[in-house]
Amino acid sequence: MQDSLVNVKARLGSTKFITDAEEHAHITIDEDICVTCPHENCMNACPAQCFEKIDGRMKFTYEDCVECGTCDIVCTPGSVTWYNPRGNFGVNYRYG
Amino acid sequence: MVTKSRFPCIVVGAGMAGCAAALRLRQKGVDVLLVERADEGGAKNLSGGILWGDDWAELIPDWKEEMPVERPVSNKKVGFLGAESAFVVDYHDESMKEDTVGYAVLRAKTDAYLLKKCQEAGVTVVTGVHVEDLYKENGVVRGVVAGGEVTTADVVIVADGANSRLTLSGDLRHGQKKLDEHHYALGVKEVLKLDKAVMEDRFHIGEDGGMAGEYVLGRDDGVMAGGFIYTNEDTLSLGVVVNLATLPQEKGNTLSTHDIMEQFRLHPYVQKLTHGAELVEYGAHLVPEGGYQAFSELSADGALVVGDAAGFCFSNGIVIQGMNYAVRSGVCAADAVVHAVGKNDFSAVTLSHYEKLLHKTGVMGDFERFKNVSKALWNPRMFSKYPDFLSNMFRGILTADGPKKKMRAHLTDAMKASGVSKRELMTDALTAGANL
Ligand SMILES: Cc1cc2nc3c(=O)[nH]c(=O)nc-3n(C[C@H](O)[C@H](O)[C@H](O)COP(=O)(O)OP(=O)(O)OC[C@H]3O[C@@H](n4cnc5c(N)ncnc54)[C@H](O)[C@@H]3O)c2cc1C
Ligand code: SF4
Ligand code: SF4
Repeated sequence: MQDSLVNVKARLGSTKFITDAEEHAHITIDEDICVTCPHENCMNACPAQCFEKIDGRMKFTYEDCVECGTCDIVCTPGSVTWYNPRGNFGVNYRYG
Repeated sequence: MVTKSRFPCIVVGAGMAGCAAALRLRQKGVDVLLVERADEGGAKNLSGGILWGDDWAELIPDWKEEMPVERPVSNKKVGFLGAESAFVVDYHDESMKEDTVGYAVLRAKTDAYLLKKCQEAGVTVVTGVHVEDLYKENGVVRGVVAGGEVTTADVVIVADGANSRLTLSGDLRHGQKKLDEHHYALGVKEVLKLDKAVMEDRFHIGEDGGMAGEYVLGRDDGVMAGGFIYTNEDTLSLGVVVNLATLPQEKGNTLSTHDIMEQFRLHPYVQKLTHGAELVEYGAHLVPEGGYQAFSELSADGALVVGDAAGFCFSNGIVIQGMNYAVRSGVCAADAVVHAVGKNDFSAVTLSHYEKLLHKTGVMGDFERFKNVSKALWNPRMFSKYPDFLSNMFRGILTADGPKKKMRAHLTDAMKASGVSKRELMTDALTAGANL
């Protein structure tokens, strides 16, 4: 669903983020676990479409994450390691 | 490093639950440290949302004048959206303005105000600090870990919201290491800017009224989702709440929560209401909806859990009540801490006074009652069949076909067209009726 990806990124453009450096990415995945995943539910569940399959490998990007926690819930194989970003970093709602 | 703090109590999280707890503690003379990970109060928080009831009055008598709320609800819409149809009950009641049954709110504004209110009351507030974990000695919660450093207190009130990392890492969820997808829905929300005069005209709400609309989204793919539209001062809140366990589970089916939001946004009924409005924010947040069975541990040695973190949120897919319970549980927890300070005993047994207060103030009773409502409304037929059924039926009655047929015939036709059986209709109507 490429359209959908383009779309959500455009809508996320309205949201304010304070992005931390990559070495402090608050969520990581283990791509080798993803290869064995029976459902890839992270792709359906993530409202910011931070999960994308590229050349058969699951890729995760943390920058647009709105910290909802859904990927951690649906990732039954245990590939997702989930932390909150460091204080002040990440999504900063102006409305909420 | 372990720093012994002078605070009997640390509250983690300055949402409605944490702010209510901290404010109450100060008002009862207990020193409290409130830690919030956002730099500015409210910047991490998102709801629909309508703040129902008058629970803040106990803590802030003038809250209705002071709190930066949006519009009071004077018009309530409840509807079923089919693929291209909408069946909507539209209830206007001017007296709701005076009684102010509920206000639309934007949490970045309300929670920033609440944090300031806490500061003014003498709560020690630190923002921009993420609490990484609860600090335990021999299984007893003794403080919090932030920036790798420990700060101790007699008791910690955990108010870190729906995605409660602290109850998971601190082992306060009955041994669970992960939240259960059956107990959470995901809310996806957009805020759209709309000219005030246009809004007041379009929604028939006038300068001093507001609209709260909640809709069952008819889908034939088994996904259960509800939609909402709320009028704020000069913005609209538009969103969907998706039952996570009903998302497609097979590989390659990439229907996403974002797509469900898009489908709602682009529905002809919604488009007419939002025409000309401009997107100013996109966000998402979990909604606890497991009720009773999904509660975290409420009191432990040295800790209490409040608000969404504990699971005090009720949702049936279309109506959500969480902010009011966040306030009420925060107050109960604060009073339990006052009780424990009086005894100088912070054991689970003494702190379980919290549960007694939750019962006494009716919070627990409400969740016992909600148990059945939730079951009645999160019913697959509600989403797969009824939106079509209602459209078929009312299209029959309200269009040219109408007068020629008897009501009964329209009902039978609609049941046939949407595949609802008489027995199903009876059972669902009875359960819904008995529980609403
Ligand atoms: C889409 C949607 C619609 C909703 N609609 C309604 C509605 O119409 N009416 C209603 O009553 N309720 C509604 N709710 C529910 C309501 O938003 C919640 O019940 C309520 O916000 C719970 O308050 P809380 O204080 O427990 O949690 P939150 O408001 O989530 O506050 C948690 C706080 O803790 C902070 N925090 C978290 N972790 C840490 C940490 N480790 N260290 C430091 N700080 C931390 C966060 O930054 C945040 O400030 C809705 C929810 C959603 C998602
Ligand atoms: S659900 Fe988890 S294991 Fe499966 S693809 Fe997504 S991240 Fe990987
Ligand atoms: S926390 Fe939410 S927004 Fe962030 S990656 Fe996970 S599902 Fe996506």
